[in-house]
Amino acid sequence: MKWDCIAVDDAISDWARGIELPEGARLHIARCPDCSEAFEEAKAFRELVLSADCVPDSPDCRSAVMARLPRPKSAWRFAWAAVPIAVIVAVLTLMRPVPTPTAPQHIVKKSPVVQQQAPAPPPVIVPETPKPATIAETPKVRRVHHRRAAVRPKRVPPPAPKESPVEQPPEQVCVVKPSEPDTQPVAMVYVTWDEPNLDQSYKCMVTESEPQTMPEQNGGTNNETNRGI
Amino acid sequence: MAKSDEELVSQAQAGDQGAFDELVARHQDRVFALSYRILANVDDAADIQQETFVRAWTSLKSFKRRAAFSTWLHRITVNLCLSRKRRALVQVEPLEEERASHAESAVACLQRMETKTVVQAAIAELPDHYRVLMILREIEGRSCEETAMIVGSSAESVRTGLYRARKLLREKIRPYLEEVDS
Repeated sequence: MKWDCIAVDDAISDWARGIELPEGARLHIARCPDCSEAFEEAKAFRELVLSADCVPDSPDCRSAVMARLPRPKSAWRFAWAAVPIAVIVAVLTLMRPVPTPTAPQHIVKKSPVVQQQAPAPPPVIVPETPKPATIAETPKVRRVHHRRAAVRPKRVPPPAPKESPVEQPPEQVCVVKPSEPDTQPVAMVYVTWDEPNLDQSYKCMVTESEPQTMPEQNGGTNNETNRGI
Repeated sequence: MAKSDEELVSQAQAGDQGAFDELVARHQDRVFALSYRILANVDDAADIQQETFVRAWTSLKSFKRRAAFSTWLHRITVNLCLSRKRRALVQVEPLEEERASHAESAVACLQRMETKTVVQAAIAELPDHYRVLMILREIEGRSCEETAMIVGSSAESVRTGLYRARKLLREKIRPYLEEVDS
């Protein structure tokens, strides 16, 4: 060990406490004035330092320390949450809808039964309410359609009025035959009248205008105004 | 038969607070004395005493037993004391508990009190690092190696610090050294 002033000073401190001084330290002290002076004052120095040390009685901190220690973590520390979690799970289970299995492709092909089970939406019946007062006041030709109009589906009277509580007046179709044998019938006339005591032949009046007699300035032959209905 | 510190530490590391309570009972006086010597204040020393053991409990899992439990405990104490001194700038006053407490002759009492007060003031005026070294080595009688473990430095660094601390202190109390010699 290298006996310099630092090592010797520590050895002197040990010697003041009663530990034997090493030979190397003695040799250093013999030739070092600073260390020699420290050696001479060592015991007095220690006595003074120890005399200055006074420590009051220690307080008993056991209860305070144990009260400040964090509680050990227990597996039951989350037990309080078990009840609300169970309630939430039960509620969610009860509120969950019955799962509808997704129909595979082959079942979809056999699905008319399922389709039959699903009721079709009821047809919206909008009754065509007639105007009885108007019909009663004017027992004349109500609607007159020529032939082309009669073949249109939308011109066919809808079945809804049949379901209507208000009875529709009967309709009759009169085919007006031309007086000349080589001419074709040009119009179907729907004639509706409400008063049964009227003579049908009297009320059904159709005026025929021949296509060849149409004035040229009126355009095409299909013009309704040229039919003279 | 009383259990050793190592056994109690093992039980405390397993969560046994009773074993830790026994360790507190064994070491609380020395922890308080060390903190009081550094801080020179009873209330601060009591706070540090409690804080040391609470910190020891929370850090007990990290105790690797490279040193004795007391050494590890005193290291916590020193660190807490120095931290408090740095934070609060605790003014270290000369210890005055026993002032005029003895029914001796007035001259002898005053003379001894004066010497004691001067030495205490001289120790208190040392830099914190030197004062801790002096307390651990000169007053508590620990070895340089143990002191080095407590303060977290090498034994050589401790010897160097102690050499300078003794030199400073010797110069301040030299007149009283001569009185003691005579």
